[in-house]
Amino acid sequence: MRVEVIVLICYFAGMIAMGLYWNRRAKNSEDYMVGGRSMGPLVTALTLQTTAMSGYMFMGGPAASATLGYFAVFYAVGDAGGGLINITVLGRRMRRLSQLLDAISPIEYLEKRYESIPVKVLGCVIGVFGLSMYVLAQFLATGKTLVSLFGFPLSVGLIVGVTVILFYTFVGGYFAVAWTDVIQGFIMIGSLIIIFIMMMSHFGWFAGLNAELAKLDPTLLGVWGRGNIYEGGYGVLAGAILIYLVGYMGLPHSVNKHMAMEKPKAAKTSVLYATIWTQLFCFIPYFLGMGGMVLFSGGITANMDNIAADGTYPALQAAGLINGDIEMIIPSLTQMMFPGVLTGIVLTAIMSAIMSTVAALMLLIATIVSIDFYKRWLRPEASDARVVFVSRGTIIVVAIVGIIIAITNPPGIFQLVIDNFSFMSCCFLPSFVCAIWWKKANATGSVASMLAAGIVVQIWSHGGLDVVTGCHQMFVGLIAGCLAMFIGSHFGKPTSPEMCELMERAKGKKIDVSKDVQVASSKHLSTETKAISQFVFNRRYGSEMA
Amino acid sequence: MIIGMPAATFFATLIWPFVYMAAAIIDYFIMKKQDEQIDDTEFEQSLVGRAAKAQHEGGENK
Repeated sequence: MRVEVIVLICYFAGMIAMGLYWNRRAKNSEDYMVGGRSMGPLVTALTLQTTAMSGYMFMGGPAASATLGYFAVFYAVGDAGGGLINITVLGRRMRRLSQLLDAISPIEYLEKRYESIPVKVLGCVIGVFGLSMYVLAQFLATGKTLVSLFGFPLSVGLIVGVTVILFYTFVGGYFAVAWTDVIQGFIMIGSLIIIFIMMMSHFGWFAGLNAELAKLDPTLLGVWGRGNIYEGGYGVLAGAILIYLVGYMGLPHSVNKHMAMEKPKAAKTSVLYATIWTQLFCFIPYFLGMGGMVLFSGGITANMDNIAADGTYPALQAAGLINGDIEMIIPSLTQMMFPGVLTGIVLTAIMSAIMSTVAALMLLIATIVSIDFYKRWLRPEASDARVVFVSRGTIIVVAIVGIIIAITNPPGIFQLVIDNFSFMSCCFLPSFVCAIWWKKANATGSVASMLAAGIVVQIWSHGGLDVVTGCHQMFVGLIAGCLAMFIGSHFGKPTSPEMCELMERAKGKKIDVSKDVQVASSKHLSTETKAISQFVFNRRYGSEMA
Repeated sequence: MIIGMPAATFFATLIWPFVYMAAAIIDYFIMKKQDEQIDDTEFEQSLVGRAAKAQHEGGENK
């Protein structure tokens, strides 16, 4: 058996073991769905970031930089700041408000904050649809990875991979998902750093890599993409940065992590951990893509431009690019540079990136269906055990449907998932942010923002308007959503006084007297106490003696 | 040119890790200062609750 397959099997066994371990810990639905709100800062940071970073970081991102050059790094620029912005803006207040509202799922949180059933219904529909498309995209990536790298037949590979994810998610719930994310995070970053150091040493670091890129095509070094294809397209640049810089604040599976934090004060340490991790993880794949293009093309521009009808690169395939598929640049680099075990570990890292995202998505879909649909709508009297049962059943159904669709791969399915990030993010971001920062934001504003953003993003991307206008759908979708929230909140029922009070409490209760004043006061008080004691003593004993 | 690339590309792409790390450190200290002035006892109940519950269950089992 190939070494890489053995490493993969060991990795799968480890994940299953973690699921079994955490199964004993999850006692109720709050444990199962938000880890009992007990996640410390390191776990919060890594689960947030690994959930956000899917297979795209190992496949789509490097492919973009290989073909576009440094322009693609703008996606990393946004990505690298996403965790910092997300935790700072939403972290503490969302943690507090979610507990005050007794909300387990992000949709329940929105429903209770905006005091509105339509917000829940629309949120559930967008959430379940969007998250399912996201899961499907990851299943497609899983299938591709297992087929290309391990030689598994697609159906076998998918069933094995998804079964492992299913097992530890199903059995261990949020605890298993979060802690496997931590391990997967270290695998992902460790393997990327090793390949990066090896490759850059080969080139002579940035100066050497950039010199080779300049020989291949000088425009690869420019900010406008190869051939200056996006020259003057500031809207495209803004979208490329914004999509990840602020986009994560609109993703339900990302904001869910704030609700699961151990305590609001864990947020500041999570910011540090998340930012360190993303600086290492976000930029490296793009440099590996560019370096890989130089290595596999042999520095010959004609090889780079030799693209077959099916989108593969025959000349690069001859030099070692797996299947001639540009998305296989990192695995190809790994096979070129490392012996079997290390290659297995790196390939496992790709699976880690995909699996960490899939696990979180599936758990959240299950939470929305079991809590928001089942418990709070269909069967309010349902017991905790029944809710967990429905949650687990949903995970299985989503997995089976996802596998069937990924195996049959009907035409057009890829297009359906490709803009899902922008769609979900634009629909939810105004509602999540305004939920804690703007008391006037009401149900009308929330519904209007979800509808406006969703419609605009779909029309913009499917109508090809991003190409015509030079504006990314994320950019226009956000603007539409925020405008709709602002305008819509001036109509309909205003936020109740009780909710305004909860939002005040979510800011955090100020300690009445600051430490400095306490210290200063105690000095005065001791003097006062001394004076009072002396006065009382003199009066008592003075009169007795008199 | 800086490390073999146009200055515009360098400043547009490669300085950001340093900017974000500096921002994260500043953010940490600002949040720390804010946290010192806030009483979050009611939001740390999950820890208190679980510890107390574990103690209670341990006492019952004795």
